[in-house]
Amino acid sequence: MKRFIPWLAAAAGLVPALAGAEGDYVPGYVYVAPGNQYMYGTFSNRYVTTPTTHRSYIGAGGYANGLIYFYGQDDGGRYFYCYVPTASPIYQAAVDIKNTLGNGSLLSVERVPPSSECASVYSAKASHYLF
Amino acid sequence: MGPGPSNILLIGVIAVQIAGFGLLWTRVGDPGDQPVVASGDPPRPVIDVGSVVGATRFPDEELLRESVRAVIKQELDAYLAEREQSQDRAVAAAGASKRPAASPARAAAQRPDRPRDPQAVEASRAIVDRALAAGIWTDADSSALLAYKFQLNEAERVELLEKIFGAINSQRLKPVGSLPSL
Repeated sequence: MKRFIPWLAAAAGLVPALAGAEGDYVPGYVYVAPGNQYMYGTFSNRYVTTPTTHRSYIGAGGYANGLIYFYGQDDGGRYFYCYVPTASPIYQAAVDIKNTLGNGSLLSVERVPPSSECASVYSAKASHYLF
Repeated sequence: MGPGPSNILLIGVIAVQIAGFGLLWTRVGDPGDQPVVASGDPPRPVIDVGSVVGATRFPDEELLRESVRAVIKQELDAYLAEREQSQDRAVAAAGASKRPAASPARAAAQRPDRPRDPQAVEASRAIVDRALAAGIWTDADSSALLAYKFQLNEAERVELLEKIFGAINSQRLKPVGSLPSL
């Protein structure tokens, strides 16, 4: 029995470390591609404390049964804004995505220049995007 | 003077008549003696006032259901035939051949959701042009533009957004404050 005591003590020492373990975490970010063809980012970028030249943000909005918008700014100060008209074939899907954005969301939107209409909208929700 | 034989006979006949009427009266009021409807006759409701007031029993439920089905089918057939004829008349009146229906999105795009207001369009364009010249989009611009939102149809709103968002995406217009929305 005595020979097991050091092992038990070592195992007990590991318990606090295990309790404090966290899963994968991706620090928040917003990225606007050169030429402003697309933008992607996570909603956890609000909690990035690393000093940057510009405060990044990402969001979506719009009127019920009206135009909806996706927009953001990356930490380099580059803006991306696109809209989805009600006649767009992706309108309903874009509304659904807009309404589910929140903690843990990643959003990616694309346009086909020179138009500012959103050509595609992608979203994901994942544990490593949670803040 | 006592009653004669003819008087006794008359009184007897009257008594028998009264008894007969009395018997008929009581039998007419007895609900148990209602005539039973034969299976081939049209169904008639039998009201059982002795048990549940207002409850209706039908002697042949299946016959009743069949009758109701027949009536509904007849009415529905007549309605559908009338509707088909009216649609054919409308198409013929329009002089148009049958075309595939437009998609909901396309129909919405083609629908003029409100009449064009030239003054509102011009005023909105002026707001956007001023902001583009200044290189900055402010809350004041958003508020001024929103005043005309309900006088613009979606095509006109999209035209304005293309100018605003196009300038933002080419980094020629800096959005400050609320989102430019229409």
